[in-house]
Amino acid sequence: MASSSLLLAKRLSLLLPSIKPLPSFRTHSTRLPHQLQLFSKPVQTQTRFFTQSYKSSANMSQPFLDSLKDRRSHYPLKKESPIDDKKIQDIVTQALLHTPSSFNSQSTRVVVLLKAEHEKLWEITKTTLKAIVPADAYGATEQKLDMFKGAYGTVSVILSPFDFTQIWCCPASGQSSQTREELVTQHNVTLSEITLTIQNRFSSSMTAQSLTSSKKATPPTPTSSQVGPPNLTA
Amino acid sequence: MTQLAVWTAFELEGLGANLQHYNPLIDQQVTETWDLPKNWELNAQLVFGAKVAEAGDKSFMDIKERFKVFGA
Repeated sequence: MASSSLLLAKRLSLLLPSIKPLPSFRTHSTRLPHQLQLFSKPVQTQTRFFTQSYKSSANMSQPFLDSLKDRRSHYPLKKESPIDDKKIQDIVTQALLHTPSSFNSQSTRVVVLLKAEHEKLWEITKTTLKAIVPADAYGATEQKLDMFKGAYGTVSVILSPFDFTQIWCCPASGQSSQTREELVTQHNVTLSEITLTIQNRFSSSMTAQSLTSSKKATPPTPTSSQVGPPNLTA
Repeated sequence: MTQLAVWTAFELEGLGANLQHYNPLIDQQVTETWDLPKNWELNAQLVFGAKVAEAGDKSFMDIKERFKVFGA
């Protein structure tokens, strides 16, 4: 064990000069030598390694917070991009995958429009607004919309109504692949919490009558997988 | 949340962006043009492209007016 650790440490030290961490990930560059110390003096430095590792990770959030701070609105924009279309799609895909959603409903949709398709979107917006905005004010509106049209692309973020009632009343209908019980197990929620979410989410768009009828349709049957006690009156 | 995630990633890649909200005015035309499901509701339009200039200074309200903590 000890000899293989030493070997690994040697190999790492050979590799190390060629690794140039990005400036925004400073913590990596300070952590690697600590790891090497651990390999060379396993028993003595183990505690120290963990203490130092903890200390160096205390500000791990700073690069992320700096990125938030650096995000700004930019206008106007050019009809070109410093990254290629594939990279743009990759960024949007990853953001879409890893942005949270209630009950992992994944109800966000994204349509990326590039170049000519992007221009089409802003032409649509111009036509739509021309019909609504008073003629004397449209000039300024058109100027602004032409500025957007002059950019490279648009990421259109869309919400697909996720029907939580499907989870409640009829999970087998194809709208949702999750049953109530799976949802309860996965998200550590009680059925009454789900009901509350449904009521909050649909209070404006759904009539009280349809909500009541969907609840009546299939009264929940208690199963062993339920986390909390079902509260049917919630 | 998706807008912020994409926007921040774009900024890190040197791509400029601004966020617009022309929905629901354009919803119907958009779903028809790109043949999208009818129940898709537009939420925001993140316009992006190469920057012409860096953003100027940004002013902030006194953070004390916006933040409270109890039990710290």
